[in-house]
Amino acid sequence: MISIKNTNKSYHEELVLKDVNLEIKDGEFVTFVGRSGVGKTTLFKLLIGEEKQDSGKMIVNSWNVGELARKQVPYYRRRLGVVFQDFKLLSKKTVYENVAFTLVVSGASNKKIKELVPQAIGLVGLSGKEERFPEELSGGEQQRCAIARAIVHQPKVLLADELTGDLDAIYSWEIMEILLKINKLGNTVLIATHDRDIVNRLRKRVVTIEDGKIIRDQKVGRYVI
Amino acid sequence: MLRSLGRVIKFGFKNFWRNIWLSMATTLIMVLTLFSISLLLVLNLYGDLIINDVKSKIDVTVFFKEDVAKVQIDEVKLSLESMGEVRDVRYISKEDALKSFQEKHGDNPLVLASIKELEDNPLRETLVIRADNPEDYDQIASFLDNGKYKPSIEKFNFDDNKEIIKRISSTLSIVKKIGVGVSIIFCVIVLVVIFNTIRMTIYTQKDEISIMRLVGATNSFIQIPFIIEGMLYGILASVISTIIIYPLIVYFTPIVNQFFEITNIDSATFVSENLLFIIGAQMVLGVLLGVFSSLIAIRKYLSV
Repeated sequence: MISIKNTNKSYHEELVLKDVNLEIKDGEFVTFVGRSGVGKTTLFKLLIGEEKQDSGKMIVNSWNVGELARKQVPYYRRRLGVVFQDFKLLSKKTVYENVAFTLVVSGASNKKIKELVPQAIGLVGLSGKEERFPEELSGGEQQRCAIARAIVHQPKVLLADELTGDLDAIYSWEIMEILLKINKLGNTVLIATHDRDIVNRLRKRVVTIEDGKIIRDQKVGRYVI
Repeated sequence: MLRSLGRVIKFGFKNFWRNIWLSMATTLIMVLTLFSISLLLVLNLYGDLIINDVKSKIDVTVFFKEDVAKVQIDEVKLSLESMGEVRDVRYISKEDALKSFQEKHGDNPLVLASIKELEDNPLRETLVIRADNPEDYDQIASFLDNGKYKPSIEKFNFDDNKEIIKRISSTLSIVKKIGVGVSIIFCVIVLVVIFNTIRMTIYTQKDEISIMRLVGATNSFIQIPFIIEGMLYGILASVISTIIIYPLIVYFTPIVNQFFEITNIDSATFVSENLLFIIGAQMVLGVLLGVFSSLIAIRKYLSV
């Protein structure tokens, strides 16, 4: 469960998140919409512990995220899956190695790596392309690889920021289908996007952010700005 | 834990290989540093051996007149032994002196024959005196020369190696000073070079490091590979430096021995007795230097 209460965050005295309150149940699929620069990415950064809020409280699966000690941050992050806007794949590593990387750095056994990596790669539909390097993949495939890396350690919560930003409509929807599949497996999925068609087609909970504030929160929402 | 340790070590080796030319240049500087330091070390160890050897050869031999009684000699011996400067006094009787003389010249029939010709033992009762410090022989000599025992002493010879020792010591101390200076300069250079190399590695791995952080790698997991990299420079360089210095010791020690007429130091034993120490010292120093500059680079460029 994710609970955000009265959270504020500012950069250089400019308030980017204003009194954000939000409750997300386990297994929910939540879409954050809004124009670029309204605070979606900042909210995600707070959620993964990359930044700390100025005030308020953020609880993610009983981790008090804003109060995490430096040493706890890595262990907290191992409970999350994060897909980044720019994918952040390692160009000198193959698909397999990229996906395995999460497990390697968090100390998983080789046996577990051998078991989990093919599963994740299969789930995103990249089977057969394990030995390719990121530059040998299409944009959509790179995206899938990034998703596979984010879910390989079976996190309960998956965050994806501006996932479909640079993708064509068909590919974007394929990616969404993968996320829906992950959601169906019982995981909480949070995505930020400004892709109107996707949001309207998903028919999931939509949280609209404008100017650092949540202005709308609909159970089955549409993209309205 | 053990698994992660294995992985960070592997990452450390990867860091080393990834910029192999830079790593080799860094290792080379480390080799120069360790080489100059170990040369200094060898010089110190061997220099001490040489000086001790030369020192141990200095003694004063007192020859007594023929009619001096054993009691009197014993008295001289006792009063010499009571001097603080004297380490030991050895009494050699006429007979012993003759015996050792015969042994010494056993292969020379002419000498033996001429000794036999003489009815009396031509040799004298002697005392061999050794001092703690070579500087003390002057005092011992003046004691014998001016004291009450002078009438019973026929002569004493004084093997004056003092000048040689002085020369060796002063040469050694100059060489040591230069060596220490050069070593310190090399140490500073190696610290800067390794710092820079690690900085480069951190820079080329910026993306990897940021992803490691985001997927939950602990700080130590991120940092230790760079420390391992620093250690590798030290270990590799100490091995190379030993490979260079070993034949040099083997080649040069006999020459040095010959020059100083040293017989009781064998270069092979010197090497076998000190090699482990030299390798160990280099390795410890190399690893310390490597780790120290890695830590500085990590603190500066891998801040969390």
